[in-house]
Amino acid sequence: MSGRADELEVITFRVGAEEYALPARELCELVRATRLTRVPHAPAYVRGVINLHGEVTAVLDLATRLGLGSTELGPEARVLVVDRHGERVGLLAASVGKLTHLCRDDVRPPPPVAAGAAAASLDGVAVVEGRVLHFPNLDRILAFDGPDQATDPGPRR
Amino acid sequence: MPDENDELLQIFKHEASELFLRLDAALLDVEEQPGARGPVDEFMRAAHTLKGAAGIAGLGLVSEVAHAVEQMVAPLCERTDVAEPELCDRVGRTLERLRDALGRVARCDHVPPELTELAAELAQAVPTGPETTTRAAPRAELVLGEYDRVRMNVLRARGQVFHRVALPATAADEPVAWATRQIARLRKVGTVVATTPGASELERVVAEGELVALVASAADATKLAAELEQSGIAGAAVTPFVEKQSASASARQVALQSLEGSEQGVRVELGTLGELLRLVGELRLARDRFGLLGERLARELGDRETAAELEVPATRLGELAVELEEAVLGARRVPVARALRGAQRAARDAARGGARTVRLEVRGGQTAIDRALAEPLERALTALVRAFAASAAASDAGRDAETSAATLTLEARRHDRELRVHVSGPAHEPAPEFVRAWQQTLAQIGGRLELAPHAAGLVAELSLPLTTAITRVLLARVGAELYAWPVEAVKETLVVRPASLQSIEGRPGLVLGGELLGLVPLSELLGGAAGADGRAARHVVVLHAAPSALGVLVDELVGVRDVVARPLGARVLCHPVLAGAAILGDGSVAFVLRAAALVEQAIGLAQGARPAEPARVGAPAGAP
Repeated sequence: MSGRADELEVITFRVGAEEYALPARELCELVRATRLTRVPHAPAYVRGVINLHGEVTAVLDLATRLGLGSTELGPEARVLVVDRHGERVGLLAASVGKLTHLCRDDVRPPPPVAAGAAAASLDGVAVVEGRVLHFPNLDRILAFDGPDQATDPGPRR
Repeated sequence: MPDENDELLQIFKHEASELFLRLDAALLDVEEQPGARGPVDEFMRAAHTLKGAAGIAGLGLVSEVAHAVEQMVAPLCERTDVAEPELCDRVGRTLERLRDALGRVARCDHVPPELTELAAELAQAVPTGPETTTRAAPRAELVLGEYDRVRMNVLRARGQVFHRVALPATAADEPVAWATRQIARLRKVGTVVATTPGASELERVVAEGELVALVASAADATKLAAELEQSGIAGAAVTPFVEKQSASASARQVALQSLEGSEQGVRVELGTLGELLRLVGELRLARDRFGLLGERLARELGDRETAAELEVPATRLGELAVELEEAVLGARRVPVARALRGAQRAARDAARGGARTVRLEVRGGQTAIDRALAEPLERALTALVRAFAASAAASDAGRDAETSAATLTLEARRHDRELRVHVSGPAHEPAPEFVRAWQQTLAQIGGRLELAPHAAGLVAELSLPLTTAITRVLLARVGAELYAWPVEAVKETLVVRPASLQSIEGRPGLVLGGELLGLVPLSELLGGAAGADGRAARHVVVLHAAPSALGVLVDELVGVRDVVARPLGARVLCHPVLAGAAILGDGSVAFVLRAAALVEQAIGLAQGARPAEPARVGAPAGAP
């Protein structure tokens, strides 16, 4: 747990070739990505649904949503469950790293030269031990009314 | 982020649909039992609750209309010489208009013109009498009605304790908006039983300097104060609630408590019963998992003896789940008669406009149906009877020699897991678009509508599942995935031999009972998501659906199961073909499919175009 007000506890995870991070308080649960049921007529970034304690929960492929390809359902793949406005949504990541502590000031706006769908959906970036951590803007990523940002033809299974 | 008021509106709409059912039932009783005080009191209680709940939700006009309805019925409390049929008719129409107008309210600050019009009409027509209850409370004194006390008893039985929460008013804000926000916040930490000022008088908050609420929760005063702070309410004074009762109030409470244990029972919200059913569904899943474990034990470890022993508690668990389910479903059921008010009014209306009177004869009014289905059933039956009655009133067929009245018969009965209602009489078939619109509407809740010529003229058969809580589905496999249809949507299943296939305009088909049946692989209808190309499919599920039956090709028929259908909350999962999802015994998820939407998809495929998305919810065009 973060002890100081200026400290931020984050969980890191891999999306495509990039490393992302979410504040730990945003995360409801972390589950293995098994037994995904495909959803008919859903956009490509909806990888399926899972049974999460009796509730049918949609799992989105962050890579597809951000135009970074699609995520293989390998043994390292995990679903990060977040709660957005009372609705639980799973975010599929290729792998999950460790809990990391940062200083809030380490998170900066994305550089203006960054481009593409992924950059448009970022809250900020941080450089930690030489690695770049991307902080996704979940409100923008989970705004389903906008155009599908996927450039990938569809998920692989 | 959803606004608190929107959340409040949804809560209110849910509560209002229950209250409309109570109002309709009570009005029906008032009409059938002239002079009886019980139904009038029940009506007044429900109207009063509707008024209060609308006020809490910030729907001032709805509250005003509910108050006007109370005023309309108030003379029945005093006198017995009031002409009930006319009054009931007027009140029934007002409630119908209010219900329709409320359906159009999208936000708490949105006032549809129908509502403004209704409120204005009533303001002129109904004399503004004094409040009919003890709502004019002295400052900061919580006054509880009988219904509030019944709710308190239920909450007490659930282990809830009561606190008086006083919130100092801020003059800087608009009083009703401020009070509404505070009540929404209070609702996040507990159940708000009552407030002072009353829900319909929230504008008095600033004048009185505070808003006082009676809140039920499991927390003690200290914990509740902390929770209030967390939910954004600062400076609240929280004290344990001690009710100052008059002797008569005390006696009334004792009487109510005794009633709870007798014929009247406890009022339980539909949502609570739904939650109980969800838990029953979990029990069934646990039972299924026992079964699967037993099979694995026998298959993988060869331990047939332990597997057989495991079967005993698993079977017992299954039996208990069935008993519990029956008990809970029993509590959700209401007699069909409650859904017939609109139909009776429609018959009377037709008589006024037509050449002769139309009588509606009801049989099987006590047949039970899930409360959640009573409202859609009422809308469908009202529309059907209106169509039948208009036709019968204008026609000479089937005339009674003595009274010259035309008789329509409405007969409800239970058939296996369905409710079937037959409406018959000397009528012509309604317009095809009317029939199709209602077929589509009913299909969305697992129902059907069929019309056929009859000795008396015309007969309509309306079928609905007895409950929406448990769905009996046919499971089929395509590729690695399982899909389900409610059994009511399935006409039959077939195994297809390549030699028996016909070609219908280049697509596969079958001759079934002398009729051509189009066949489409389910994988195609699901946009390829089913994971199979359809060539392996050898089994056909024949779906009943408007405008025609459809044969859906699947790889394997798995069997019939009872499942608890789960809603698909996420917006990304919304598609017309998906009715919901079912969690199966092994924990996996199967989508429950809508037959009518699949037929639309198939028509689109046959026309070589992507089909237009049908309406997702609500009544289609042409249906009331």
